Amino acid sequence: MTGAILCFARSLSETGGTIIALATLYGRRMVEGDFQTGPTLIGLWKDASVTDPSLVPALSFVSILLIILALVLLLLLKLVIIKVRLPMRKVWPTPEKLLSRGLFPKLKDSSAVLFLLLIVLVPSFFIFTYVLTGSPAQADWGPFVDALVISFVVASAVTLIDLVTGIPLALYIAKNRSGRLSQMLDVLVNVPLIVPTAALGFSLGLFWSNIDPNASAPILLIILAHIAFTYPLVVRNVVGAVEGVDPAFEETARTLGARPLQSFRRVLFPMIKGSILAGAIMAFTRSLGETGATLAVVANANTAPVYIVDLVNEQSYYLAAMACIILIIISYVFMLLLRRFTREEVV
Amino acid sequence: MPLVELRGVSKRFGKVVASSGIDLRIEDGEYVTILGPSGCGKTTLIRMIAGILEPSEGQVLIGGRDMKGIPIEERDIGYVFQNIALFPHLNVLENVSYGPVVKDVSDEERQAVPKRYLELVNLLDRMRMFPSALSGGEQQKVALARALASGARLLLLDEPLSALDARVRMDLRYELRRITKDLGLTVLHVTHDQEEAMTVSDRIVLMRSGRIVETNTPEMMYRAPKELFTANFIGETNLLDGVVVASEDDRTVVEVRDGSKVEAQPSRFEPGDAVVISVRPERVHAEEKGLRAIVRSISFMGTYIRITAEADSEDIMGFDVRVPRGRDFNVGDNVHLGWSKQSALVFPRPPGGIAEAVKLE
Repeated sequence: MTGAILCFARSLSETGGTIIALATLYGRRMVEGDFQTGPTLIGLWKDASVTDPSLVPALSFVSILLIILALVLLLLLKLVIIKVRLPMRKVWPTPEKLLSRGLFPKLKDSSAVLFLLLIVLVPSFFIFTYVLTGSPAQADWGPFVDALVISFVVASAVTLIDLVTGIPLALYIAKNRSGRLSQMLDVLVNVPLIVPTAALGFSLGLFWSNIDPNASAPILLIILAHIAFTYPLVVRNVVGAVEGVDPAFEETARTLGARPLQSFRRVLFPMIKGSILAGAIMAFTRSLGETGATLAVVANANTAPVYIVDLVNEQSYYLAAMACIILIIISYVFMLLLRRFTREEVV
Repeated sequence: MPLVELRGVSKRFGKVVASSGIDLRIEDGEYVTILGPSGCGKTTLIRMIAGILEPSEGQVLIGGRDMKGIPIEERDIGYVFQNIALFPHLNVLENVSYGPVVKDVSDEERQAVPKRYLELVNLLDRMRMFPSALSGGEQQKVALARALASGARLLLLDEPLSALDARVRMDLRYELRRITKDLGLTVLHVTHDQEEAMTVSDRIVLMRSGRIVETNTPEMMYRAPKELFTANFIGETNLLDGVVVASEDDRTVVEVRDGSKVEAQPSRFEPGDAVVISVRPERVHAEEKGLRAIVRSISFMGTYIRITAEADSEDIMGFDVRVPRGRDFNVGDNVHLGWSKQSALVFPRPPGGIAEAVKLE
């Protein structure tokens, strides 16, 4: 169920992927009147609002609409789960027996694998064929390397801040389960996960540009924006891990003479290390890949994914493809790390 | 030094009263068991002594010092949990060394002390293993060694044997007592298992619904319980409803529900008083005359046979016979049950009825 919610929220909020896919389809930069999703519209209008300030209210409206929609859907989903009571209690012996035997399980497994290959993996890696067969264009790697460096600086800063501030909050939530404040925080911390990042980014952009109207440090704005939607990832992971640890471990440590800090350092931390790392890697990659929120905060931002979107819009497919491959490789390496750390924790 | 004293200690969780008005004194070197059915507040009590919970009212004193506001780590106690809670990421030696390490003792002590206690529980050869590789009994011994190695003179054991197999539980019981007595420790042991409490303790504190029912040595608790609840909870007993018809110097005569008269210990009850008689199954015999009953079931218990019979007074009576004689009984037989007047105790009949008075909740 959590998976479904995450899927839905992610799809609702994705900007970069949608822009690129659509731009490639149309073969040109997108303009008003093309097929639009909520977040791409926000991106487009945000661009336009630089020259035409009258668009700002409309932009706010779409953003607010998306935020409200997301919250309402989340609530509905929760209600449905409570009402329908999945898994359903009723059983159908004959059809279920039939479906559990013979060809059906094999069919189920093979169709699942086929789906993964055809819809998820092949299109994701199709880009490699483009690089191999396409004609090498005049490549100027400078901007991409710059963009990549900025992306890494942003992602690292974001992850670091998430960890330093997220772990204490997670500990508070996990250890005061019965407290009303903790329950409220637990729900609130999820909100940025559900709200579309473009809408969120726009809201954040408005907020921060009020404080810093000249956008004197755009990179700082990007970092602040990214923290908003990666922070929950760290908190979620750590809360889950801390709740999974029997409080008896820390209590034992205390009776053995450990100060609370010592018992965290030497008992709890080693036990949840894997989840902390997993959360950090998720936050890092999420920040590295985010387009919508970045654009919504700083229209002329130059992080790696934004750069790729620009390349596609300018039809420099070869360069875009190469850049994508590099990003894919980086993401893949992080995925491997994630798997290693999460597995270590199980042992 | 570790004399533990509780003065009027109460603990409430919202509206639930977990323990109320507890007064208790535990002498230095004493092995005391807190016994009671699940949910009677015994774990709450031990957690208040440990400092994991703060009492809502009353005082906890250890070694004469008021523990109010003193954090867990400064109370100098060893705490062994029911779920063992060995640190899974540390090996056996590192687990036992945890106390000395966090207390930052001298190097020699940090090397020597953990090994000394591992030796004491006969697990020195397992010191490089991780907890998951040990059996349940071994894990609990490591947990004990870990608690001891922190240098505590007061040991709190929270259902330490409940998670273990029956056989291991029996062996470890005696070992617990032997080790703690050898070291001269003060022990407070929480359990719901009355047999465990009987075998390990110097003194039993029986609790029910957050209150202390009775405190005494195991033998006195069994032989001369002051409360009906105690008679029923510690060991097994038969309870019969009745009314006193004669109260004499050497006996009390009670008329049970079918009108037959039975004898019990002398008591202060007057004729006409409503009472309950308690008599242990091993004291009841089949005789020529006495309470008439029909045998309902026969169970082989090893060294004896337990026979359950329904008396004409509608009371269910259990009694034990030696194995060869047990062959003489069959389900449906009529028997007459009797006992010596000294083995039957008389209690006032509780206003809410017997069932209410011995209920475990």
